[in-house]
Amino acid sequence: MFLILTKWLLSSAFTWALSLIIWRRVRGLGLTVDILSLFLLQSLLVSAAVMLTGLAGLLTANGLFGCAVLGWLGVALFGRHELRKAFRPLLRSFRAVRSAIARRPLQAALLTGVFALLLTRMAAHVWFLPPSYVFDVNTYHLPRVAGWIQQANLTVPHYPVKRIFWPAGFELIQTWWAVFPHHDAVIEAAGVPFWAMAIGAVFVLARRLGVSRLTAAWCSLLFAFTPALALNATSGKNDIAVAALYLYLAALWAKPLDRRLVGKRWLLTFVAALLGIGMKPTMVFILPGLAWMAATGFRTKDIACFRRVRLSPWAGTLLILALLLGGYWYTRNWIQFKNPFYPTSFHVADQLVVGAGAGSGQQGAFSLDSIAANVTMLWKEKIFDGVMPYNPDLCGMTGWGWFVFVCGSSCLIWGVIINRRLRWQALSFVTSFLLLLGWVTPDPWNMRFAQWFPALAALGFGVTIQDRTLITFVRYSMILLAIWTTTLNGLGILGNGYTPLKRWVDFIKMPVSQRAPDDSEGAVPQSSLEQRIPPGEPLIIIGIGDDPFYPLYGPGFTRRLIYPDDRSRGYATAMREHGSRRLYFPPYIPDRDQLTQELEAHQLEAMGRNVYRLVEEGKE
Amino acid sequence: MKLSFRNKWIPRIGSLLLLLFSLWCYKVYADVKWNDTLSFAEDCFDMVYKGITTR
Repeated sequence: MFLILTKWLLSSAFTWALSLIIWRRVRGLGLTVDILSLFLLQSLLVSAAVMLTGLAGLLTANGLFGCAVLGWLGVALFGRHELRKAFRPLLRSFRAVRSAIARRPLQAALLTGVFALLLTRMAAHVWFLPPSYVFDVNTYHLPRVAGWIQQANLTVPHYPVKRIFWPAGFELIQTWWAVFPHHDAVIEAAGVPFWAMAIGAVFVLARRLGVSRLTAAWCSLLFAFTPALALNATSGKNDIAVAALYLYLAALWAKPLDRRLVGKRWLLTFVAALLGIGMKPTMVFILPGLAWMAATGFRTKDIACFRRVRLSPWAGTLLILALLLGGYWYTRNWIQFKNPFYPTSFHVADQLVVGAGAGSGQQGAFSLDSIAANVTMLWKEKIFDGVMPYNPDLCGMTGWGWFVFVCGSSCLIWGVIINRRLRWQALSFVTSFLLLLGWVTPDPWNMRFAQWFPALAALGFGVTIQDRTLITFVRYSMILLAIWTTTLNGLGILGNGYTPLKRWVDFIKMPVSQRAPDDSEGAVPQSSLEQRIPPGEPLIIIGIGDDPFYPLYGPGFTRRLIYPDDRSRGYATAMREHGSRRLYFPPYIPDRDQLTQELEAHQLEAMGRNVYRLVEEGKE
Repeated sequence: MKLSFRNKWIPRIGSLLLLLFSLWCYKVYADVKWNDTLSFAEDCFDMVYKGITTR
């Protein structure tokens, strides 16, 4: 364990060191934006490290550690001075934060305490709950991570779920959290830095609106407790990363910059946008809305800098890495299926552009009818969050929570009336939101793509509270209401919406190596599968195209899953052909005739928990 | 007179409307969401309370 932690820490330290060296060249855009840029660079480098080692077939803890050792050697030989120079601005940034805190120690302590409470809840969630409680995470997000770690490369696992071919930029970062321990115990932590990035960006946006530093910090906190955002931070889903990158881009473009800095801003813009596009195409849908925001911080010099573009080697490398991370998935699908968006078909004005026609997963076209249907669902049902407790899937709800509904909506109206800059920000967010609604299928779950939108409510609150025309009684009433509604948000996100307290307790009592399937049968330990499937035995899986198979890999990614293409001669034959003696047949598959036949013919034998044993004459 | 009204009363009326609208929103949301917001927290409280009282 000590060796694993050492490798992980040294490799992570190298990505931070390299990020710092690059950061020195892109900083200068403001203290908070600079700190957010450091997070962005680190995410980029971690993703790039996993992708490059994956493409080279070296995606193991030793492969990554070996690269980090070589990197450290390079830094020791050629970059020592660079690293030392990079630390100075970082220390200056820390000093600036410290002096800001020292000016208001009580408020800072209170803010830190509340953030610490939320972080503690997230840490408990990450450590005690297995990541397998969200449908899409089990269906196609984490099976990719498990497959990559098992094969030490980026080959897509052979799987019944076609959505496994969608972009997987966020899974690269999740892999970083799982490949060193060869275990998924802390894999949900991959979303937490993006949650921090999103709330940091709200702080910057609030400051751009003229809100004081302290009020801006409180606005960030109000946003941080938004159920959709807080629950998605540790859900294993990728929408939190897109939300963070969108808000970061908004923060980047919220004010005009000095001529010398516009090149840095463009570079960071490309990096953040490409990173987001490589995580989820929703980034492309929402990006155009930021044009309004950029218009407020835009000057002719922002375009003029393109007349004489001279990319330094480090900036060029950064761009190439971002292009690779953003474009790899689409290029791979284009080569393999002649459709970059596979399995979704892409239409423009009812004309098929790429794909097989029907497609699947998403509608793959922009439609005004979608906007109308989505807005109707939002207004009639989702905005009230009433279908079920807050959960990361956001089925039939927005997950925007108490604060947004109660304080955010009214304060946003007030803020838009009194603050011209907020009008532009609101225009940006609403445009992005409508574009998103036009692109996505009107289904109950699509509000998880809009976790960035409630930031607007927090910004409206900040502007309203600082408005001097607001009478004092109302100001304090609104502050109290905001504290109360945020407390309710906090209470609402104590659980994850799915796992009852009894199951939490069961998981807490269970050793980490046993925390695995979280299905309808309760907190069943991994040993229940281990008893039925001998170690090293490959497991044949039968699916229908949308199957949550991730828990079958085991928390240590030890079990190999095989999806047989040819099942026409029966499951027993397919099992023999693939050298497996165990079959997993999910209970939800309606067509069970073949299985029943083979059970009656004593070719297969039920072992419980949907596992079936191959019966062979004379021996197992 | 007009200016005085605008400076004095519009913000006051507006402020009160803001608060009233927020309180109305609270009522609407609470009617739908109160129970399931607190359900998990209540379970936690009950468990802790039982844990303390049975010792």
